[in-house]
Amino acid sequence: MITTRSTDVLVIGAGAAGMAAAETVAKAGHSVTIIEREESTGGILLQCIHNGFGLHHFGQELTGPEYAETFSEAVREQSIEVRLKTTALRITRRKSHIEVVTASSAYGVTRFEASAVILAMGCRERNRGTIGTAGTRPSGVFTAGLAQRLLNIEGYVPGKRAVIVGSGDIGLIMARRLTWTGTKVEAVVEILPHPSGLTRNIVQCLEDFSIPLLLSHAVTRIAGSDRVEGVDIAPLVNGVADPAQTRHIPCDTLLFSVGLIPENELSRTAGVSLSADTGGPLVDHLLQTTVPGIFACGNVLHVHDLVDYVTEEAQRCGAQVAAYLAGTAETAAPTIPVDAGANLKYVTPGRHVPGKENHYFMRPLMVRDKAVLSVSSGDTVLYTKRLSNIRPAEMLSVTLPASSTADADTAAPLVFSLK
Amino acid sequence: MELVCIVCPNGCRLTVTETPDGISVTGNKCMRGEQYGKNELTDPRRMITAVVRTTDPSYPCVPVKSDKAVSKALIKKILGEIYRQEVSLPVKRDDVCIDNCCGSGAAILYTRSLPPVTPEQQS
Repeated sequence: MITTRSTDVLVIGAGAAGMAAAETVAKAGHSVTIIEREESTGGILLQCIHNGFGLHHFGQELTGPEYAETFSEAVREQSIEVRLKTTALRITRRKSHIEVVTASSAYGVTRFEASAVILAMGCRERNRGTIGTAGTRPSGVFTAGLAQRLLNIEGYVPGKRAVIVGSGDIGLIMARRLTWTGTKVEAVVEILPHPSGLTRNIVQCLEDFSIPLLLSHAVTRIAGSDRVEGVDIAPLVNGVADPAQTRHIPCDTLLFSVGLIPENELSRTAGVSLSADTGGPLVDHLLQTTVPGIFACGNVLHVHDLVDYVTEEAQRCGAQVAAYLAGTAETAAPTIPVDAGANLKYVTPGRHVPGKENHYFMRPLMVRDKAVLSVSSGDTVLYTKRLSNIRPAEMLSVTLPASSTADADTAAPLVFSLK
Repeated sequence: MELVCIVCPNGCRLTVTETPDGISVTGNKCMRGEQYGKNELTDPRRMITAVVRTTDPSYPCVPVKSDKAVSKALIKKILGEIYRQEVSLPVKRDDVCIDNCCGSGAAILYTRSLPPVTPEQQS
């Protein structure tokens, strides 16, 4: 039997983004239901047991579980309905509402009818297949996040000698975590000429343990029949792995920390348009997707490197959803498109209301100690800001003041660029 | 000595030099960075995070942290002590798991309440 339930707002995902958005909407007096496929609220933070979260938002350094629990408590205090171990299967925009079909063993199939939906499903890891690593298919090959879950939630040590592919933060954190568990980490292999993770993690997770970071190197082959027995690695020469300099590293475990992809299969069922640059939905100044009433925030929208930014974005999204339900959101305001110019991979959100303040996140494409961010419309520079320590691993967060775009040309896009 | 401060994600680039008046730290944006720079030269310290085994198969591990940074030399011993524990649930976030662990002066605290704080909620 299919039961039907109504709620003002349905939030999909009870991680950092979903919980913060839900709390904000509930505080504004709207009914909220959160759908979560895991057994508890908290999302990926629950397995990120290391500290370093919350410096911007709480002004102190918390571990992932502490950060998550603070929001779980807020969700409980707001009496927000939470459905755990429940999967959202499909989202459909109807005339008067948005329909979301969910399934769980406890409640069976439920058809939710909501006035607004917030997508907060997060992201998932790129893996061996995504980057096309050659070799056999033995056991012992994990994504870094899966190994993190095995170790920190399930209580299993994944192996004794590990090689980590990719120098993203999850891989670096896992290098330390494995070392502290008694696993020997032989090397971290990074295809780029610079590390992908935060500098502090290079220091405290690799240098502290003298773990080699092999930049401009690639894993060219995985060896082993039942279990991983080793990997071949080679330096890149003119962007191509040089077979003459290949060497073999024996290991029984291989972790991939090679980037994250916003998880948008569900968004597609609703017909939401996705951006090729972020992998997430295209959103306007309200963080509303191309389907009216469906909003997005957190890693499903674009991959953030600090959870504090996720919280900030989710609260902004929650506030916009509350305004949308109250009929006070600027849904009809004329907007201009926002584009990424020189040295930026993307800027989100993708629409701007001239003369209104809004907040933008962007991902740089270059490594520089100092740079200037400029926002222009046609040939006119409307806003500039000096920034330091620019690197692709560290997202930029900029508030564009209302006055800067008051006289912007409404026929031209707003272009953000970095020089 | 050139160091990258690891106190927070800012990752300030510090220059630490020994002068007749003591150790001087420049490049830090906050006081914690100055302390970090000094400690790195004299007694480097790190925060510890790990998991402790539980007796409950539904939640096999509970995460813990040291309530302050501990001397690098003590980390191995402290981790050994953490891994020897086996706790029964419930536990609450911020409760003490091990007091003054290995004489370090640091307590090992739980960082998550188990069972979790948000059970299924139905309105």
